[in-house]
Amino acid sequence: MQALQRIVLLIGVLCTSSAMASALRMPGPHTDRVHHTHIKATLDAEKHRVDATMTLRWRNTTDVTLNEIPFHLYLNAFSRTDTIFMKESNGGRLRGDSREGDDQDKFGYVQVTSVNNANGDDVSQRWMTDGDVATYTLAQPLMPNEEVTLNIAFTSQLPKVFARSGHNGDTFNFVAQWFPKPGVFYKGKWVNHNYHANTEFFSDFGNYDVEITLPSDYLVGATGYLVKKESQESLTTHYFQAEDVHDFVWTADSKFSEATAEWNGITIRLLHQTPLSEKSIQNQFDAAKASFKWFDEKVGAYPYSTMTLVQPPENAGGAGGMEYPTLVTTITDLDYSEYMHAAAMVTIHEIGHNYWQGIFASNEFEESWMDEGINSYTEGRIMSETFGQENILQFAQFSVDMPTMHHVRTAQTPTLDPVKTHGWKYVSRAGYSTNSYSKPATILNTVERVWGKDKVDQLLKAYYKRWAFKHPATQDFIAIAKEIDPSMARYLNDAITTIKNIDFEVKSAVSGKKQVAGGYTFNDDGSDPSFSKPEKGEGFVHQVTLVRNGELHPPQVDVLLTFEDGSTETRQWQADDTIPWTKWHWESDKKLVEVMIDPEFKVLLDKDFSNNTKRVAKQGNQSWRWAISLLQNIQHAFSIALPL
Amino acid sequence: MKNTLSLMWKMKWVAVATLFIEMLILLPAYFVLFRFGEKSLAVNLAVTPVGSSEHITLLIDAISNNPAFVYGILVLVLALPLLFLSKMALAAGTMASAQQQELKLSLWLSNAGRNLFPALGLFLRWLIIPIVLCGLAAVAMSFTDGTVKKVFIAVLVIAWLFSLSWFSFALNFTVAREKKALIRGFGVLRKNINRFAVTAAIFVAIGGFIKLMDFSYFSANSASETGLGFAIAGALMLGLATRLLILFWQTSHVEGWRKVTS
Ligand SMILES: [Zn+2]
Repeated sequence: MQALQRIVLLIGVLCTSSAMASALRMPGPHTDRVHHTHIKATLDAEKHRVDATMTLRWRNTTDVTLNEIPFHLYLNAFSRTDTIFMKESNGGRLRGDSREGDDQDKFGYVQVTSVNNANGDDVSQRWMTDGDVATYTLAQPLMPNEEVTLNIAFTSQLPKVFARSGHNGDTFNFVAQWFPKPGVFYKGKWVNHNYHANTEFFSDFGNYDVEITLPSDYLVGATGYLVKKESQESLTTHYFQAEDVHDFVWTADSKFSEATAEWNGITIRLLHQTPLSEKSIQNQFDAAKASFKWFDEKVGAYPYSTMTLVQPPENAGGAGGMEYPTLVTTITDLDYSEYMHAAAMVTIHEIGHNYWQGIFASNEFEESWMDEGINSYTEGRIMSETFGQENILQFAQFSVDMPTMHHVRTAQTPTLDPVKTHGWKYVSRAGYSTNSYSKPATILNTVERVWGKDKVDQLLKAYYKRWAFKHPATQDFIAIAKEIDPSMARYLNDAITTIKNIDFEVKSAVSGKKQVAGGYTFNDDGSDPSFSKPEKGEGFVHQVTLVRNGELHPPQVDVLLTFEDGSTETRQWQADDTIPWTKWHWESDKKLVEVMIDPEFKVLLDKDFSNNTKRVAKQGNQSWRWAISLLQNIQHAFSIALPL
Repeated sequence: MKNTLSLMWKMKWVAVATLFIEMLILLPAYFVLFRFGEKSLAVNLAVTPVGSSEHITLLIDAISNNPAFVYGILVLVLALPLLFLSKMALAAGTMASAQQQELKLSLWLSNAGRNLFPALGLFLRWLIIPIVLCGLAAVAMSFTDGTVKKVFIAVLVIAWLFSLSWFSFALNFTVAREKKALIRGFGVLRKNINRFAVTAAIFVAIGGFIKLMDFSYFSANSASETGLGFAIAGALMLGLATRLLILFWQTSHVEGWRKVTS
């Protein structure tokens, strides 16, 4: 009886788990599934090398007949010191990590060893490798809706990690951008750029079946869903399945520990280093859940059933803070702290990429702001709205929130390129990073504060509805904004596609006693003009000159006027489009003491907030007195530390 | 303790005079930073409370658009060596005057001048002591965590106070123009270990209290309703309290020295 019960239970579990278990949480297909990629890969853990065979079924979903398919061979970016990637990254210095010396194990590559067609015929003469890209010339033109099958064998030698992919010289392997991946035929042409130091993502959606064989003591994390595991002697094969994703990544380490959590049908798995405190682990799950909750409410559903968070070991920092479909890497230091929320912020950021890069799949090579930039904006909102941590830094009474951080970075970077620029064409690395992260975040923060959060929420929701899984471009985003508010769309367009700037300034502010005019008065009868002395009258006359330096001004901005008795008045300033200054002249019975443009800091794109205020009278606010107490504090600390 | 307090009372004007001399040295830095603030950082504290993100935005924008802030810091940094030298001289002068049990400001200043270089020499030789003691504590600290780390942080602080006390006893010999000040200073410290414990405890307790007051002064001073008068009065009072605390440390070490050597 007991045995029967057990069997029934077992069958029940098997049925429910196989019915429920799927790579997708929302039933698909969500995309046009351009390809089906089946890879069988074996990791040589000693050599950090992957030997693999791949069967690619690629369908022409365009309306053009194609003669070739270009491929990325990303890992070849690490093969030599003279690749585009290495040159752009100054010989391998990127994102706070750098290549450690010139030894052979610091380099990596991917080599295609054979190419066969569906019948098994050798077609490798049609395969042309050129550094980190390759072209496969089709035997016959591929008509719309036709499919081609290729069997490709390849070897991926991982480099010592300093930029995203690689090993740590020990047991950690992060296998990203590791297989020959087709480019995208987009708006009438192939997009298949080299692996650039700054930008790398753009690919078509499809399904992946990947079998990974490696030593059994390794924990594995990968894109998609683990279908099953099979062990043979000391090796284990992990079968992963992913649907409607545009990339497949995996990681393996025998030193990982694992923790899991669940959020509305999403299994969140943390592969972490040991030891890691319960609080730090919970912090990661809280960050992930806060992200999913926010996106679910504000943007759209997360269609996948899994999310794997990977904490790289300390000596593999270059693998940290990266995003791949359903798998992201955190920073290496996940220790929870009350003052700094970087460990949560990065995780929120990377999960956000699963929308802006994973689901929307914009051309990150050419329009990185659509990925990093929108993501930097939403990350700030998640931090404050669902994670409950408005400030990124906090000490005593000092705090810095995300919009402030992005404003400062934006204000300090000279505006030399439009936000929308190809990732490798910015004047400098700082130009790339400000224009891809902080400036678009500041643009969206400005739009949120000027036009209201509701309109931004509408924009994001409509954007998801229309463009999820469809590779939107900048103008697609702006077109949706236009349906919501044309002036908001105009502003977005100017801010994103031009180098227009804005710096508001109070040029002058004066306020003085009203004068009763005096002097000669001519009489009608032709007698001598009579004379009266000019006199001080009742009330005050004020004159304020406001200047907008730059054209990027919203339709109107608030100006706060403070009067001698402490009373205030807020006026709207509609800056002129042709003349950059506006002069206000008016009278009232109170003396004006201070003028402040944008007192609520709405236009965060303002290059300099410090010139937004002007004081008429010295007795306004002796604001700088807090500096006295700051210097006092420092001086006393010195004296007490060294009692001299 | 009674002797220390009565000696301290005799020396009370040292605290006031030192406070004004130090303020005079730092005045240029205060002045430049104040001017910068008045001109470039016209913040409305009612709208942008100190420490708020908006306040920090203004501060950073002002700093990056006006070099005066950097100059202010530069002036401060340039003033620091002068500040240190005068602290050293005045401390030596205070010890010499305290040994004579009476204070005449002119004599105090000439003692300071006369003893500056000997005191500096002693300071440089003494440096090896905190480097070794605090270094060991710091190494132990960096290899531990949790409660053990906290213990070593405490050990580090005690090592520093111990080193300072050693220096203060040794300085008595230096200003008295006696040889082997460091070694004899240690001898005095060993015989005064109870005094050290009490003095250090009082020093830490009152020093901590002053720092706490400093922070609340900072907060009060940062509120928009407080005025410049409060800022200046508060600065003077807290500065005087700090100087008196340091005078207590110094006179206690003169008393300890006198008891052992006389
Ligand atoms: Zn990112």
